[in-house]
Amino acid sequence: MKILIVDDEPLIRELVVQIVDDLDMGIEVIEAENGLEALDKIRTETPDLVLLDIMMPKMSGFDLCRILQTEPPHWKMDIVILSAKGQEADKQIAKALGIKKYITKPFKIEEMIELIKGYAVNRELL
Amino acid sequence: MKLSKLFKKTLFGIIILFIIVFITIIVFSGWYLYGNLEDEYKSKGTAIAKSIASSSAETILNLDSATVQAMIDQFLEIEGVSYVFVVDSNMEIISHTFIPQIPPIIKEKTKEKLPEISDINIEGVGRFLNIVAPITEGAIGYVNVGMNKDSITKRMWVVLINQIIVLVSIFFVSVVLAYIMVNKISQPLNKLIVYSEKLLAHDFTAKIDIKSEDEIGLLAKTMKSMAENTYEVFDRYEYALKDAVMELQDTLSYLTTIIDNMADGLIVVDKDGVINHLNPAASQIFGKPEFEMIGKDIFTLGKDIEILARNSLLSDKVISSEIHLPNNRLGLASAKKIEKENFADDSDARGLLGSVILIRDITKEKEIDRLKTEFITTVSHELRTPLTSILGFVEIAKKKFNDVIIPALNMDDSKIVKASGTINRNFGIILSEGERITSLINDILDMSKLESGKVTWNFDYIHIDDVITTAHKAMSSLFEKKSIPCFINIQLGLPTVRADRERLIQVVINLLSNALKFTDKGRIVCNAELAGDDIVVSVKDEGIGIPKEEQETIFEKFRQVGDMITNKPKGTGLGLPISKKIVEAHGGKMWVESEVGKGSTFYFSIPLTTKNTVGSQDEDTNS
Amino acid sequence: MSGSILKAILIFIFCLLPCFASAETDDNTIVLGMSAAFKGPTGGLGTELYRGARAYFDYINDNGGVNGRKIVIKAYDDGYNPIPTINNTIRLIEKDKVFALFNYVGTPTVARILPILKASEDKHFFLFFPFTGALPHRTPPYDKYVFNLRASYEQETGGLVENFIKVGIKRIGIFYQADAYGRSGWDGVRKTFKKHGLKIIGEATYKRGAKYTDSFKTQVNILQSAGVEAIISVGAYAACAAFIRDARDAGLDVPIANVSFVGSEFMIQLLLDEEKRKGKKYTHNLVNSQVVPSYEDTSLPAVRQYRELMDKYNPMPPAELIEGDYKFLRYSFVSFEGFLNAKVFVEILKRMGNNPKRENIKKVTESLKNVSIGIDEKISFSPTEHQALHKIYYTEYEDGKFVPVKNWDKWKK
Repeated sequence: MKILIVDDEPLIRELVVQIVDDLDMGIEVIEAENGLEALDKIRTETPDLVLLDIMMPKMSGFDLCRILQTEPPHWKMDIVILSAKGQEADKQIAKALGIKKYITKPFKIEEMIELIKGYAVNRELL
Repeated sequence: MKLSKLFKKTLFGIIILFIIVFITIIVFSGWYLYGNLEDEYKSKGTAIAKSIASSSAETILNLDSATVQAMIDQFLEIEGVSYVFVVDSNMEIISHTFIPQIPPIIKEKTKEKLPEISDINIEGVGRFLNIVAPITEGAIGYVNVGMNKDSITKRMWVVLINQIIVLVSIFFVSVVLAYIMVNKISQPLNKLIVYSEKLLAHDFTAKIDIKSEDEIGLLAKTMKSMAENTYEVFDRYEYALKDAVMELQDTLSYLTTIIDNMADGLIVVDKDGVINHLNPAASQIFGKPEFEMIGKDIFTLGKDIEILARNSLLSDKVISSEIHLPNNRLGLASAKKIEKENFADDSDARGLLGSVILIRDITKEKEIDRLKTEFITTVSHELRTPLTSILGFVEIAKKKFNDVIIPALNMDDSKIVKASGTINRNFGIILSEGERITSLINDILDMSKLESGKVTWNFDYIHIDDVITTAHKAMSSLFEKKSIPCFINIQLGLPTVRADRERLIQVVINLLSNALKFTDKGRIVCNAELAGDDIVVSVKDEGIGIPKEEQETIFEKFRQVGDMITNKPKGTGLGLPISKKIVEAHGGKMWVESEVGKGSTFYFSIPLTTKNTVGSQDEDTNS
Repeated sequence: MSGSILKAILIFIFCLLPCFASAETDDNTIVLGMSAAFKGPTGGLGTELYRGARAYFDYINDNGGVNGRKIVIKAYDDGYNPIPTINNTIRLIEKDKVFALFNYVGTPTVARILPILKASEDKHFFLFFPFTGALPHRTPPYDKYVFNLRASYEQETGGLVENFIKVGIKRIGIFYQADAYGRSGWDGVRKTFKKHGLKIIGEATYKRGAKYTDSFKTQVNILQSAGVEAIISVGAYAACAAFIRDARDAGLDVPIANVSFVGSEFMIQLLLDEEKRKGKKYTHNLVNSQVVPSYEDTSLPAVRQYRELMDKYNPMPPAELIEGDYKFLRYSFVSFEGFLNAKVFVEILKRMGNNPKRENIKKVTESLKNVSIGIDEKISFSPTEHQALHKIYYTEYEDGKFVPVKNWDKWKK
């Protein structure tokens, strides 16, 4: 399983890497700094799960989603939004874009672990 | 010479009268006179004829035509006698006074016996009354006297003309008299008219000078006293009016000054949307000179304000909305329709006058608001990221430490044990403090959103029991930790209510958490029941209670109970204000009942019908 | 000084004397009252009548008067109008207290004063010798107050008519004054005609007082249309002359006969003046009857005396009775009649003795029998006959004078 972490903050990326490492489930973590890079990585690496920050330069997380919507092969990809905002409006937009999961920063480690485990299980079963 | 109307009327009357009199008199006297004169002539002629007849018997017998002639010649001198002739018993004319000859008609007529009185028309001469008197019963002869009918007519006309002259003279005299008499009346009347006109023009000091003792003088006197009276009254009223006007003017100046000096713009529109009034501030706000705004329709100032104005006319409440102002400025306009019930019954102003619109330029405020929001958003975002890092890494570190390092440590060394214990505790402290910061940031952001109305509500028909159950679940571990039981008491059959589920959960969690925070013993009970048109939820604890003086203030920002207490529990101080705002946004209320030492019960109500104001506010989708 | 006062008194008394002369038979004067036409269209009649009488009276007075009494005429003008005549008569009777009324002119005038005479019967006022031939004062009841010298109009007109009838003229018209005078003439003609069973075939009247300058064309027309063969004209000289003029101008050339009252000389004078103006004859075919002989007939002593006295005295009427432009005639039928009137009266007066009183006038006058006054007829009065003369003389104008009509045959039809 591959997880793509898209966040302009390196520490967050680092954190996710550490969490995943700790899990020791053989999940690969790919990093992207911004939406553009993410797009590229998605196309090349085809991750199974994308952890997406909203507030990013060059292209916001929502914009990326919108673009991704038009690229059918990646429909199967699960996206989870990571956002500091936590605003209802953003949740609505996420909903509208077909994103079901939403994690607000700062998040609990457990929360993150649960989330990833959940996806992994799903993956494996499939 | 301007003739007074009165005189003209009188003159007219006199003329009519005169004409009637004239015609009547002339006709009557003419007719009467003619008849009389004719009779006179007849009797005269008869008398003459008889007199000649009685004195000429012998003379005729004597065949003395000359004597007869001499006699009849005398009578020719009598007025009206035109001819005399005498016929003898043989019907022969023996004496006559005809010049130049006996008219043929006479010659003819005398062949037979003429009637006593008959009309004879002698051609070329005239009309005559022929009167016959027999001499000695006709045995000797007849005397014929011819009275001149034409002279009757002439005489009649002489008399008539005299009458006419007299009448005409009388007419002129009466005209003159009438003129004088009428003038006597119309002059004072004119004076009265002039006087009345002066009075009409409110010149009460005018003088009138009519001294006659008759009705006109009386009228003048009355009018004078009337004028004086009116003047007095007028004077009084004038003073009163002046005072009132001054007062009004003062009030008006005062009000005008207020309005003119208001910082907010004031516009008054009538029911047709025409701007009747505005103050300098309004002019400034819209950047147009006053004269360009007055009298124009409100839509010239923008569609938003026009809609506002129109809506205000339909509602009894104050309608507010944000409006666009020129130069990309933003305004807050509040409009209320004006109805004046106090006007007089027939005043046009009764009823709907229009609307009063107050406009404030809130561009700056909006800007500030926007900046604030932006600031908070940015800050909170900026804060969250490092927080995530802190918390995340600490957690990992803690995990790694406990999972990997501790097992590898020598637990026999008490120093190591103590140090690892301390390290673990410190990790814990960092985590919990970090969580506290997170809570605080969340609360501040929330509060800010709620205060500026930027919250995106998610209303739906929800069940309260679901809300409470969910909140209870979320708090259950904490209840366990502190060993305080929490009981739920939800009334059965509660109707669904339109609310934001997440937010209500937030509220209930807040209340439960507060109850827990300030309770060391006893139990917490959460109630939900229907009270009238509301669903009332309560959270009761047996904690320390809240002093009376603090029961209001705890709903204020950053306030916590027991600010004075040294050992005060941890919290942000924003929970209750946030909960209150949420509840109020639903149209409900939040309040507390508490007694120090006994415990507190926090209530909030959610109305069943949507009375909340949220729905009518602008939805901010992308700020 | 006393001498001049005496003179003044004498002169004063002398001056007063004439005042006493107006009394009736006061002292020496017999005053006769005369009202006649001195002015106007017929003014010549009164004037000449007066002059004729005056000539004789002057002569008598110059010769001591009658029984030492002078005869004076108190004359008033009545203009040939009855009212003035009445007033004059009353004045003469009551104020002037004349001896008798004398020399009146005109029928209408005289006719009107007859009642006054009757009323003053007790005062014994009589009218002597009026210049009128009318019937009223020749017949009862007034005949007893009047003594006439001249023949009547009836006689005059009758004579004229008879003469015309004699020469076969039957269609006679009459032009006459519309009053008693004209009526008398008319009556005379009518009565004469009646005798012959004839009728007047045309008559035209005119108003008394007409002037010569008036037009009589209407009257001429009437008579002309009636187809007259002769015209009897009974009028005053002005009117008659004008009538003749208009008649001749209209081509009516029939013989026109006038009576004595017309004042032949005056009429002829007017016609002569017209002849001079128009260069046409107007004085032909005219017959004028007279009641006195012609003053050309010097065979008569009266004529001779008349002519002599008229020339000698050339009497004038009182100044107030003279009309400005009046031309006094040397001789005329009128003045001759006046002269004869005076002569007869003198005869009467002579027979009244030294104390003539009005009461005796009647008796004395009526006692006159066959008194000669120098003409071919003698004067006689009686209680039943108050007219002295009865003869009619017919004259025509020839060679500048009035001559007797010799032959009526020239108008023979």
